[in-house]
Amino acid sequence: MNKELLKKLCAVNGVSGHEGPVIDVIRDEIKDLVDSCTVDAMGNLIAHKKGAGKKMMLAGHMDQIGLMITFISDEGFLHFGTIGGMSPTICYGTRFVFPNGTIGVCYTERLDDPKAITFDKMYLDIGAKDKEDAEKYVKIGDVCTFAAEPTVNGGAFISPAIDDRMGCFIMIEALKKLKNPAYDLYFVFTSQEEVGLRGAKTAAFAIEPDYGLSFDVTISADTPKSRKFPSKMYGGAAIKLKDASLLCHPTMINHLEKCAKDANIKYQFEILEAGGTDSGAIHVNKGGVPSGVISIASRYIHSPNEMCALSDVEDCINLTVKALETAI
Amino acid sequence: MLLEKLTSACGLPGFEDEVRDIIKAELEGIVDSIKVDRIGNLIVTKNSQASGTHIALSAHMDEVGLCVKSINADGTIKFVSWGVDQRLLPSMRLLVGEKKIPGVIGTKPIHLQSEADRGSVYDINSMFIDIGCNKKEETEKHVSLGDFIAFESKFTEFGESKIKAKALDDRVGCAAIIEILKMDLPYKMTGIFCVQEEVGLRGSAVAAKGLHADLVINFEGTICADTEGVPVHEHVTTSGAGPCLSLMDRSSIYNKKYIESIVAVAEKNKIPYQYRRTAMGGTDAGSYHTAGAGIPCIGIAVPCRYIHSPVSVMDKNDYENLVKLVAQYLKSEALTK
Amino acid sequence: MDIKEFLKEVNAVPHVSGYENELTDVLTSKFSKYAEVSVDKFGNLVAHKKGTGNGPKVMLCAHMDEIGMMVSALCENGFVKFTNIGGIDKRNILAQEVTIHGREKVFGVIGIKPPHLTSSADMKKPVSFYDMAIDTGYSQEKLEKLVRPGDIITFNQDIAELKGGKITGKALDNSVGVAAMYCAMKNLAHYNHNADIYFVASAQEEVGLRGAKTATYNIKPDIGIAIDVTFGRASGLGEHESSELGKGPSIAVGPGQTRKLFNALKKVAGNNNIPYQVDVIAQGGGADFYEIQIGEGGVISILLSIPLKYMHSTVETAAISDIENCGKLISDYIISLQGAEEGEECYWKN
Repeated sequence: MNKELLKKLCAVNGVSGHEGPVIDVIRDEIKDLVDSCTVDAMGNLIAHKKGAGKKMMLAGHMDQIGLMITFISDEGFLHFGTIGGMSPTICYGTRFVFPNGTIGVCYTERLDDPKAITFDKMYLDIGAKDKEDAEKYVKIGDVCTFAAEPTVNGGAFISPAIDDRMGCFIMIEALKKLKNPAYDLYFVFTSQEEVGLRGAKTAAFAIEPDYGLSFDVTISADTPKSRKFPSKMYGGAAIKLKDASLLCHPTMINHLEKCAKDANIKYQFEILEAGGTDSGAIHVNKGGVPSGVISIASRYIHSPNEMCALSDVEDCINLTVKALETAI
Repeated sequence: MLLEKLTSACGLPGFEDEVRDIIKAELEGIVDSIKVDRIGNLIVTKNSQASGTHIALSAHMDEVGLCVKSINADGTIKFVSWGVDQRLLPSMRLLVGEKKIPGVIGTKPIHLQSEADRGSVYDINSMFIDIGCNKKEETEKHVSLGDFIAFESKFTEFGESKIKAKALDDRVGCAAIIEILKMDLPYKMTGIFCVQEEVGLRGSAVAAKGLHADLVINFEGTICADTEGVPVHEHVTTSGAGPCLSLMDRSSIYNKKYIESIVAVAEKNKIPYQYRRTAMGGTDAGSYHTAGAGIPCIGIAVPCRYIHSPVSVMDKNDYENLVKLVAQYLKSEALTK
Repeated sequence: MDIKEFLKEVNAVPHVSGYENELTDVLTSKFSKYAEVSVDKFGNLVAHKKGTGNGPKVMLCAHMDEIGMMVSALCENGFVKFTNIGGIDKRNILAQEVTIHGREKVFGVIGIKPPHLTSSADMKKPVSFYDMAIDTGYSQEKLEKLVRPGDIITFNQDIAELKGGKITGKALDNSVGVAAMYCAMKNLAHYNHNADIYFVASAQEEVGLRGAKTATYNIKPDIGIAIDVTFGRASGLGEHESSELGKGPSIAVGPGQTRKLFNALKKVAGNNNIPYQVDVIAQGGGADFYEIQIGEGGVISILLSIPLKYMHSTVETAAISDIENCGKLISDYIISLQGAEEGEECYWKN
């Protein structure tokens, strides 16, 4: 497995609406493998690999959650709004990084009740002397995200932005391995998923696919006292049944399961109660698009230290290749 | 099937007639005498001329349910309940009165609920039963104050060997006694089918007076909490692991000698059994063991999950093993000593 | 039309959001006597009854999906964990009977820990979905051969009659709406209307109006009428938030509803002695109506509703007469379009 590419993808700064640096990495990696590679008005990277079969749209989102600076105080502290599903308790005491490399520490004003921690009481501290000094490094409207090193730890991978650079990675690696695609394929690296599946919506409208397949993280229900759900780390490629954004189409669920069985790829099912993914937007495009999702069971999603199993990633890549080489 | 017939009948405390009629019809010609006392207990005797040990078999006929308390201006019914967990009542379908008029307990739609609503349980005092009438006068044509209200639940066999029904507590006991009385057993036996156990062991309080038995075997459906998420030490009983023998509950401490003698029979005949692993609850044994000069009691029961609900669940094997164990016990030497 | 029989037939097959196919078959066999039936890519059933020409394209839309559950995990001793599909009140499903649609149909009950093992503090808190499990009576080993994650679960509840012309059961949201649409279809059977009518039984409304969105895209109607349920008045609900059972369908009015269509329907109801109520909807609301209204180019649209007590429970209650009157209002409206001219309330062209 190309672990260097994986680390590189996860280390790039690409908060929703600011996916430019991610586009550059992916385009370099795939441009010679596809027939065309374009960026649309919403900032989706759309790579077309022509084929004879039905039109299938693959989607993995490039964006990651982060913070946007909304105010800089005279003392040089940065106040912010959140982009995507951020949690105050996870941000508290955490390092954030801006695209220019500036580091900020997220902290809270003095609280009488430490449990009452909310974003309106929190700020980023870049260690500036005052407002003027701060503005040398950061402007209002700048975005930042978790600063943490992508790390391979034995069989596990620990990194920010596994959600959803891992989806992008699986698509890239599958594209490289693909020999005889059974579809006319659109590899779409989408923008702004974390704020409402926005990129996938416009890309699906333009492409008008017959099938939709997206790639994203899901919960790993194996941590202490976690609730009973079917997916867990090291359980193989996860085939989504439902989340808050879609009920996966039985055609797609069955296709993925059959491919996994035929190619002897380890798989599991997954149900996500809160949250959705790009297929949620694709499946209601125009007259409807039967859609499914291949997921990676991950722990600590939307934290600086998301975690997944490399063997599951391998299974996802293999399942993707098999699914794309097998006609429905 | 006898148990199906018995659980399909309605017999709220004080209104056990339907159940009593079924039992009477079953035992007609089988027993020596059938009589109903003034509180409504059905008392039968068999081998009444036999000398030696006199065994009384007791179970109660009544079931938990609700009762019409008042009728609202909009035609809905306010009610009181006996021993029903109020958390189970929302969305329940019920049968009101002797005419068994269908009614439902409806709730506020989820769309209109506040956060506070969703975080609290429905209070029984704010619930009402809707039989479809819009006005008090309409409802009064069908329903009277004091009418009993029973659960609507169909007897269903499911899973590997399970039964779902209402009123398994204690129709399962009634069914077992009927089966045992139909067997050819040597002892002088009195079958007691009590009323009003669920409202405070009232039928048995009457039956116990003047009962001159040497031993009472009290048959019950009992608590079983061997369900998902409940730690093993709180299971009380295990469904499918055999009939359970009571050691102690809030109404009695059971006589050790008799527990040991029936356990010996179970072990000799390889009949599975278990102990009831709690001191909670009470049964008609409470009335018998202190009656007169005192009558020793054995408490034996079938584990019932979700007891006191429309969907009580029991294992057929537990019932069969209960009947088998008591029959073997009554054939054994244990009682002649 | 025997509405009760129709509702019973609908009730007999599972039709949880995304898994409406068995109901689609039932409805196809009924609707195809009156219109040309097809099922679109998303799972919506579309019955097309052509007009005589020069009429508007009218989309009638009643969602056919019901709320339900999905198996999320199997536990020891044959207990099944589940997740909800659509808005279920966790407080009114304890002690309910269910069917798991696995390899075979598996009966189960949603159990509860007995009160005597529950602390008094916990007795005052609703049991969360995560703490509930379905008791199937099987061993885990046997159950694994019959059931797996992703299997659909429906509540077992038949349709029963209450006093005062009312019926009770599960999934009346929105089988009563589909029944009203079917009434309208039958009423129009021998009528040569100029309107081109699309009767849509939409999929996946309960999880986000998804079917109505794709159906509207495909049909591109001039006029759209969504047929759904509204809150029936019961103890605890005021006049401002509910409609009475037995007083006729509710015609919605508000910023979203096309006012001239509202006026036209009121006029039709008045002319034909059809009782109706008015439902003022200030906010968007959750019904298919929203997706129809914002269809391409904008659609002249409105929501008609049948009052339903205890919505999203297994004891939903409706009045048969409201269903009939809703069907009649729709068919009489279609007929009224016949001679419509520019300037009239029911005229649809811009």
